[in-house]
Amino acid sequence: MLRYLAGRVLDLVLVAWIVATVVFFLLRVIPGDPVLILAGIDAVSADSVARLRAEMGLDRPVIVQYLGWLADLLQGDMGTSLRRDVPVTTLVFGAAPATLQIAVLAAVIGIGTSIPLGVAAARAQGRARDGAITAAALLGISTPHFVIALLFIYIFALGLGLLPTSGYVPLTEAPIEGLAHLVLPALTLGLVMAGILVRMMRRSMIDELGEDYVRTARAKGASERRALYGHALRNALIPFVTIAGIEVGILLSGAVIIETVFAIPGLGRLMIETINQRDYTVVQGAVLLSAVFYVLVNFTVDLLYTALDPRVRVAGRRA
Amino acid sequence: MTDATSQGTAAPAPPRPPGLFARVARSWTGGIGLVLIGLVAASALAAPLLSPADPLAQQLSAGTIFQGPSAAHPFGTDNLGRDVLSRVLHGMRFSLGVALASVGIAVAIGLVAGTLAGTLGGWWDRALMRLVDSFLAFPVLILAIAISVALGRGAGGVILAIAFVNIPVFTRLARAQTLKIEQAQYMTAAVLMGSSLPMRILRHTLPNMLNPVLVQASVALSFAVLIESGLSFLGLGIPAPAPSLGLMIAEAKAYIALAPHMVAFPSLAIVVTVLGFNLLGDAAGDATDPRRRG
Repeated sequence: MLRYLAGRVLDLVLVAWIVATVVFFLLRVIPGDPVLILAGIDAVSADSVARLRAEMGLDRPVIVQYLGWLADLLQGDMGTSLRRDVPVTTLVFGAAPATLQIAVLAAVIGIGTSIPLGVAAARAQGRARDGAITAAALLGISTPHFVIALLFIYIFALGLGLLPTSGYVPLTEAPIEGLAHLVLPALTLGLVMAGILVRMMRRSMIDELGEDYVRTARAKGASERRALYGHALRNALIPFVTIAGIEVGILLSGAVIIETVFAIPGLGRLMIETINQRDYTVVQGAVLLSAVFYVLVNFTVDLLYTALDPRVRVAGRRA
Repeated sequence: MTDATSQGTAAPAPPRPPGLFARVARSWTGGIGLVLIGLVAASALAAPLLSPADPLAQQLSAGTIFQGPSAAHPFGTDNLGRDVLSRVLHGMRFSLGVALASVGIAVAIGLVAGTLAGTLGGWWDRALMRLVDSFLAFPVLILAIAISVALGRGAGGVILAIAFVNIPVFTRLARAQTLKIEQAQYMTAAVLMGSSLPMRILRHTLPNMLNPVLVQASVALSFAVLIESGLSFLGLGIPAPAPSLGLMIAEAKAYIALAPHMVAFPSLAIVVTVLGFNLLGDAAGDATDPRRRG
C-alpha cells in the first residue's frame, strides 16, 4: 500500500511539472510583446523598451527563462502582475476561495442529487419515471452553463426577487448573505454536473442489478433494501467515483463561465479579466492553479477508488 | 428490439448485420437526434437563403430596436435593431462549421497518433501516452482558453483550440482499438498471409475502429459546440459584430429583463444542436454495445 501511494505521489509530481511546463510555453507564444504592451503605445523609445525587457528577464534565452521561472515557482513565487505592482500569488490565492466555495457547494448538489436519481431511474428502467429522469439529465448535459445561469437570473432574481444575482460576500464576513450569493452559481454548476452523473449512476446501477451476485443475494433472502444498497449500489459507486472526480475537475471549467455571469471575483473571472488586460503573468498563475487543483482532485479520487475497490490495490502491489 | 433484417437479403455474401446508421436511425433517440441535426445542418447550410435580413444590418430607431417576435422579425430584433433570426441562423452556421472542422482535425491526428502508439508499442507508446495524459490533466475549457489566447482571436484559433482538447480522447480510443484489433483472428491470418504492416493498418485496423470512432465523434461534436459557445460567451471567440451564438447571449445579458427573446433564441439554437449530437451519440453507443440497451 505504501509503495502504491509513493508511486501515485511520484506520478502527481510528474504531472504537475508537465502541466507547469505546458502553461509556461503556451503563454510564451502569445502574439504581442508583453514589453510593448506594458510600455504602452506612447512610450516606445527603444531605450526604455530594452530596459524593461532586461528588468523582466525577457532578453534571456527561453530555456533560461523557463528554468528561472520553475525555480521561482518551487519557492512559491509566480512573478509579479504586469499591470499592477502585486505578486501573482497574492492575486490568485486571493481569488481561489470564492471558486472553491462554489465548486464544493456545486459538487455537493451534483453528487447529492445524482445518486438517488440515478438509482431511482435504474430501478424503474424503461418506465415513465426512468424516462423523465433520463430526459431531464439529457437536457441538463445539453445546456451550456451560461444558459442555465441566465434562466435562473431571469426567474429567481428578476421575477421573484428572492436571491442576489451578482457579486460575492465572503462567508467569514456575513455567512447568510454570503451563502445567498452562492446559491444560484452553485445550483447552476451542480445541475449540469448532476446531468452527467445521473446518466452514469443509472448506467452502472443497471449493469450491477443484472449481475448474478445481486440475484444470489435476493435468493438468499436478503431484503430488497440490502440487495440494492448493500450490494448493487456499493459496486455501482466504483465507476461513479471516477466520473464524479473528473466532473469535480470540470467544475473548474464551468466556474470560469459562472463567475463571469454572476460577477464573482474568483479564479475564473480573474483569468478572463487578465486575458483582456494582457496581464499574462497573472493568466499563467490562474491557469496553473486551476490545473493543479484539477490534478489534486483526480489524485484524491484515485485514492478513494483504491479504498472502494481492493483489486486496484492488489494490482498496484504486483506492478 | 426486433431483428428482422439480414435474413431477407438476397446478396451472395454472408448476411451482414445492418450498418451503424440504420441501427441508429431505427432507435427512437437516434431518430430524434437525426431529425434535430438534420434541421440544424439544413438551417446552417441555407442560412444566407433563409435569413430574412442581413445579420449585421443595424436599424437604430426607437421603433426598430428590442422588438419582440413579429411577422417581419420572427425572433425579434436586438439592441441595435438587427434581426435576431438572421443572426441565429448565421451563428449556427459558424458553430457547426467550427465543430465539424475541429473534430475532423482531432479525429485525424488522434487516429494517426493512437494507431501508431498501439502498433509500435514500446518507448514511443509510453512517451506519447504520457503526453496525452498530461493534457488530460487540464480542465477542458481552461485549456481551450489558454490555447485560443496563445493563438490569437479568430475562427482559426477557436478551431485549433477545440481540436486540441479533443485529440487526447481520440488518441486513447485509437490506441485501445488498435490493441484490441491486433488480437483478432483475422489479424493473425493477415500476418500469416504476409500482409505488410501499413497494409494491415489500412485494411484492418482503421476500418474496424470506424464505429467506435463515429460514436466518440458524435459526443465530441456536442462538446465542441458547447466549448465554442463558451469561448465566444467569454469574448474569446470570433470578435463582434460577427454573429456567434455565445457572443449574442453575452451581449443580450444586459437586456435580459427588457428583451428576454434576445437570450432565448440563441440559447435554444445551442441546446437543440447539442441535444441532437448527444441523442445521436447515445443511440450510436447503444447500437455498437450490445450490453447497453434501454
